[in-house]
Amino acid sequence: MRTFRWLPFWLAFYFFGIAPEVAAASSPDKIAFGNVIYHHFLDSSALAYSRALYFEQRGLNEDNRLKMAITRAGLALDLGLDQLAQSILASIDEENLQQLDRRRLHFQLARDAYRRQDWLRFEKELAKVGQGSRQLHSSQGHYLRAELARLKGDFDLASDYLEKIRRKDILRYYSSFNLGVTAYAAGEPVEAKRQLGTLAKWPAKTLEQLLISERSRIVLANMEIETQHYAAARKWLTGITSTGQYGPAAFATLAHLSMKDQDYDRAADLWFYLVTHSPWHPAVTDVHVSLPYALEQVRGSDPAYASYKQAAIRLDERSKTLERLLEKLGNTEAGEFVNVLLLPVKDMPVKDTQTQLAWFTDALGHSDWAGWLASEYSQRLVNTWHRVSGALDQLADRRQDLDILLAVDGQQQLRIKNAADTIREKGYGSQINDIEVRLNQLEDNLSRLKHDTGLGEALLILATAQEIETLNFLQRMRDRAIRLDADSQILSRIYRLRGLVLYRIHDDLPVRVRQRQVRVARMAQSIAASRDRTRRIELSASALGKTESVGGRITVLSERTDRLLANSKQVLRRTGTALLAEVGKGIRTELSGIEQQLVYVRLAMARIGDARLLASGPAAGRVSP
Amino acid sequence: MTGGVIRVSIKIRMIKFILLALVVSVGCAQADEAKRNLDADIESLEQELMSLNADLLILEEDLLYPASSRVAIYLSMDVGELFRLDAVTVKLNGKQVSHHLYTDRQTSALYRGGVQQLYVGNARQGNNELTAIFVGEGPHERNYKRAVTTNFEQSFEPVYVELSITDSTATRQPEFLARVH
Repeated sequence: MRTFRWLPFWLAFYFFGIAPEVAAASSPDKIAFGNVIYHHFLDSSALAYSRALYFEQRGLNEDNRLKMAITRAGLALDLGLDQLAQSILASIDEENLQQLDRRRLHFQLARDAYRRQDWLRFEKELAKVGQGSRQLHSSQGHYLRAELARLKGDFDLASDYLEKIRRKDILRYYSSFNLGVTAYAAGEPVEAKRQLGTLAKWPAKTLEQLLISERSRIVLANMEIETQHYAAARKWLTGITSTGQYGPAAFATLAHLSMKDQDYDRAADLWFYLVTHSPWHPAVTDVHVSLPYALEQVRGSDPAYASYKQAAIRLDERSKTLERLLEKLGNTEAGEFVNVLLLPVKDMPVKDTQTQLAWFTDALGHSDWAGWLASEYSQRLVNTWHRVSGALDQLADRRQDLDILLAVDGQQQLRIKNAADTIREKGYGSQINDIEVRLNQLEDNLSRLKHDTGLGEALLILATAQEIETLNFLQRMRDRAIRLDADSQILSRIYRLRGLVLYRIHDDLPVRVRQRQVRVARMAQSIAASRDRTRRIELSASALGKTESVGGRITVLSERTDRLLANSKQVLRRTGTALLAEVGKGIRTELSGIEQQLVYVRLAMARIGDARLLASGPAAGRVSP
Repeated sequence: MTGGVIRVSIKIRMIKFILLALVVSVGCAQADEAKRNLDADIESLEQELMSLNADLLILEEDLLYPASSRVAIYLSMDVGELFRLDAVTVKLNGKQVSHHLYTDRQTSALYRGGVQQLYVGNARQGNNELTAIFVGEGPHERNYKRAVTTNFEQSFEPVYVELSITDSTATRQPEFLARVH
């Protein structure tokens, strides 16, 4: 059984500084807020943002309007919607905020400043959050403070803060990596090695963690090479996944180290592996030249010449392929090209790292695509492409939803119309009016009876069926007695008996009136509900076809969706064109590199050829120089 | 004469260089502008998309679950030391309307203060009976199954039912509550 006693206390304000009261929601507004952060905790910031908008439109934010707005700003920052976050934060009047909400606001403003790399504002906002505030003790808070300390060059303080971030949290990975690299650049290799070394040894559970961990190994290896600790550098490099993003770079560095040690045999093996598995990776551009060179040192000029020849063929073929690609690029529609290039990656599974890496490589066919798109700008373009593609998929789903809703609404409209027709045809409205009039009369009679007890005949209204039967029987007896000219004593007995019945009714009068009043009230409620129902149906029927009706809203939303779809497609096209230009730039850069390598390879072949000629002596029939 | 030609040649080269620099800087500025526009367009698109999602959610609810019959059931947890939630089943007037099996991430989100929407649907006018059955692991790692029942009156306003699981420090047992808002 896990213990979570401590979790609600400090994790509740993770990102938003949510006070523990959220855990025990007790009003629709608090439920709404809790539901928003539930989706945020499940890493569905887009859904959380949509839910926040939904609850705001439903009016379920009255108790915590400002808190919801600050939360929305935080979600917008998570989603990379910086302008939106800034406009939300700017719309919040700080004067109206409670102390806790003010801290939340400055915390989000600090995140915003950090995102914009506005370090002065970042420091100022972070200071305003307040030292004792819970926001600063969340993972995000520790991360931001560690970053601030790093930027100011206080590496010990930065280290203290990042130690407070949970180990599994990706923010700890980023914080540690940033600190390691900055410390190295600032001439503090001990701190740099401590941070990067820890990162390199941590077991990675996600692709993101693995990439940071392996990147740390690359940096550590370069640091060791600079100080000529080659064995240590090798140790870091051999831990890198061969099929991963940094695999070719690690192999190439290992091969260079072997060349430096004049271990050409091992170097040749490594270069051969790279030529076979990732010949065109941007990190191993010299592989086609280095392999024959290493072979020349180990096995002599003949195998080297053959290897140079193969390299020349490979480079020549590559050069022709790239030229063809360039030509094709000029004649290709951008969207189509990018679709082919990136579509499989879009549906990549998120969890399994090894599968992901293999899948990534398989999907791209070869790593050169990734190499051409390795610049920060092109990475942004790729991310943009994915974001817009995701938006397009969502919009297509929404369009389908709208079509379904339109069908449902059509059926409902038909039902409403039929119901309204029935109400009109059967005259339910006038029937309800009649019943209401009669109920009002009854109510009047009852209240008159309650106050006017002298009305003997009126008492009959309140008699039970048995009493009425008894009174009718006595009436018949009286008539008979009169007809038979009976004794007056008999008549007076009959009158006495009748009086007894009426007195009994009179004695029970308040109870009988109350009972009937309750029944009348119940009927009045029932008839009011019926009236409400008919009114609602009539109202719905009159709203049919109008903009504010559900059907009208579906039409408006459908138009909005179509417009968004068109805009998204346009943005996607523009992104595709920009990506295409980047790919073209990458191809041209690689082409010029290949041309240089070809020159080198041809020179090397000529050199070996000349050496062979010189070794074999002057040929017959030739004149030696 | 030769010196003059050299000077003219230098001038021409300088003009060429300045023109080239201008072209490059204008090109860069245009590229930056294009990047900024693209980013702004994407942000605006995403913003509109989320707003559309929210509007659609409201529309869907208004159409399928009108306010007069709408009931929304939510689940929250407090502390969670004495009970590890595995599943919840919700019955409305004896009919099962929702069944949810929990992943670790979902229970963790609940422990951290999140509130999950279990069900949204229609209830008949008048009195309704709601039963929630909670299955999980209770104190001393024992299988635990508890039910909570509540009645609510559906009038013409939407009804919010909050199911909550709390730890009772007095009895050292989990408590299951249902509140109608």
